[in-house]
Amino acid sequence: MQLNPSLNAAALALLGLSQASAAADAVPGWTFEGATLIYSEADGRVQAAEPRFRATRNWDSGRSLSMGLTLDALTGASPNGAAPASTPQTFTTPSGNGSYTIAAGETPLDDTFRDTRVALDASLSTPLGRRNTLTTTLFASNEYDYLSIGAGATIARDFNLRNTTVSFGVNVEQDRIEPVGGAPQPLSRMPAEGEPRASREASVSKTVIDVLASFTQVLSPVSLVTLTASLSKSDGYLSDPYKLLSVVGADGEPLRYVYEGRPDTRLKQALYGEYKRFVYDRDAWTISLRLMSDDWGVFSQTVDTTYRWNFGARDHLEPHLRYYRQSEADFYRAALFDGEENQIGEASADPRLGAFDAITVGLKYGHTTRGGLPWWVRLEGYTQLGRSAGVPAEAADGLAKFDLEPELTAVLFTTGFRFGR
Amino acid sequence: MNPLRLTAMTLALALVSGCVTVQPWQRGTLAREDMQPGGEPALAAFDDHTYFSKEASSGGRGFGGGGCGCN
Amino acid sequence: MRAWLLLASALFTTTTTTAAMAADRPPAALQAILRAAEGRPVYVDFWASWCVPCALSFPWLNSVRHRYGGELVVVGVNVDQHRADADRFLMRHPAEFMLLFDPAGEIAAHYQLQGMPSAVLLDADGDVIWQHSGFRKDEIPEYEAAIRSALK
Repeated sequence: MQLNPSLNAAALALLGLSQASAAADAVPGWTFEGATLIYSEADGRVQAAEPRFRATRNWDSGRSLSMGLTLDALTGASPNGAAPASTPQTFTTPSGNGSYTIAAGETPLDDTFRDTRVALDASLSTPLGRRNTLTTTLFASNEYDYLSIGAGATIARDFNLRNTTVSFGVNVEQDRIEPVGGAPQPLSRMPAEGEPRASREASVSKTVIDVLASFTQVLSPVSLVTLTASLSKSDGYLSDPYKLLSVVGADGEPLRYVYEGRPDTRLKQALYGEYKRFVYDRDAWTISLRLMSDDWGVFSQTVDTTYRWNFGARDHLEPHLRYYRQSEADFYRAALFDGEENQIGEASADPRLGAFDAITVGLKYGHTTRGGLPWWVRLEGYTQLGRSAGVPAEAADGLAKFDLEPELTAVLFTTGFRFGR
Repeated sequence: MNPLRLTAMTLALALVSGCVTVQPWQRGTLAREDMQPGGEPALAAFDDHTYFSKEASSGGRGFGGGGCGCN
Repeated sequence: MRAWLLLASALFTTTTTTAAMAADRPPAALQAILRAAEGRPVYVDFWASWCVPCALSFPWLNSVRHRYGGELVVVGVNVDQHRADADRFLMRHPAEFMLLFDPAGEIAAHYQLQGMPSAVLLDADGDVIWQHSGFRKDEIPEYEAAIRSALK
């Protein structure tokens, strides 16, 4: 058995993961990690490259400091929310100075979208006495229309010869959004290119507060379980300023387009359980279940499992399977019927708020060099299968000829390495 | 009390009271890198970010904030 | 709310740890060492291949063995389940002190260790005069003070 190259309590805490003391102590010194995700959606949709770097210093005293840098470059088209139509459709770009046209029968995609995000984080973990660990984190993330800063603290306490760990965490995030062309009025009509526009707010903001309580229990010398309950409260501007809805007649054809509008608060609650077991004195099996619901009417279930087959002393293969199912938000609408936009306060056709199932299938290969430096590659496929929801009854027959629940298919390639001391 | 919370509570109690105490010298397997809860931190971070951007749910095992304009 | 209190009390009751220094007669393997020590105190260190601070403690244990070897016996008790893991560790972290192998944890259980590594200092009669768990470089003076007082 090899010593762990790094057990990165601070990095885990950044995610708010309980750094259970099932974890062994980290090796004092520096550890460096690099990893990259290449994300590619089918049919020329979103393409992303996301490199991450992390440097972690562990001290003899049990204190650790971790600093991370994430870059995220995105290009490609994503659905703008409008429904397909029998004739070509023209949309004004968010700035109001341009337009793009979508062929008849196609799902409208906005390909003017291009973005680079830079994110920094720092996290400090300090033992308080022999049984408690306090972790504080700071992070900031910036893209051209979005700035997010946040801070969090997590305290973990060991009980029962470190067989039980309980942790509590709080995280506060403040975001400022400066949408291209300003933030449109919810459910207001999309103006034509060059048409004078109502004045818009140039800058909007939102606040997110997360709290979580986590409990890890060692069940036997080869198994453990983690249970986490969390609450997340968002306040402020929660809409996507670039998303539209089609307003259609009884024939299902668009009369005009309106900007989406979501509620300005959201309360999410989640329960997460993870079970891990070492099997055949060689392999590690993990299964997790997550239930999430919010006051927008979304309910979701996630099952995730991996089996790490340590087929050699320094090699492993790890198949991964994930199944996800969500119901649509109460205000999710595939399209609005003529006049409906004046009677309701909230509506969104963002496919992410619709009803769908998603499946991820992946395989990871990992190797540890003779010198003890690990690296890995992972290839995954991700598919979303939409279920019909939010179709206005008055236009249901007219819309029936269109594919309102398009599939999303993506390939994810991830690679990473670590070296240290 | 709602049924979900009751289930979680019962489960937690059963876990605490019903399991054997693993002694400090019996933790060789639990100290393995592949037995740490949460798995590989870099992969967990990528996964959280990807699913946050593509689905209505986030968080669960950790904070679900996101810190980006991708949702 | 009441249920959470119940949960909390369950946590705390399973937490009550038994007192550390419960040894009356040392396990047979250590008795042999005590006899061979001929009146010298015995410093017993429990270690495992998977324990990070254990690796850090080895250079210090070697130096204790060299500095106090005439008046003190140093024994490293390995608690790995598989001997091969211990042997691989010893290639990278050579031990210049006596070794015992306790794969079933019998000696470790006798002293009710609270963590890894753990150290137990026995006087010539085999009674525990000092016990400690964990290893940190900044606590070395504390460990050496315990050794010196045992040598008086």
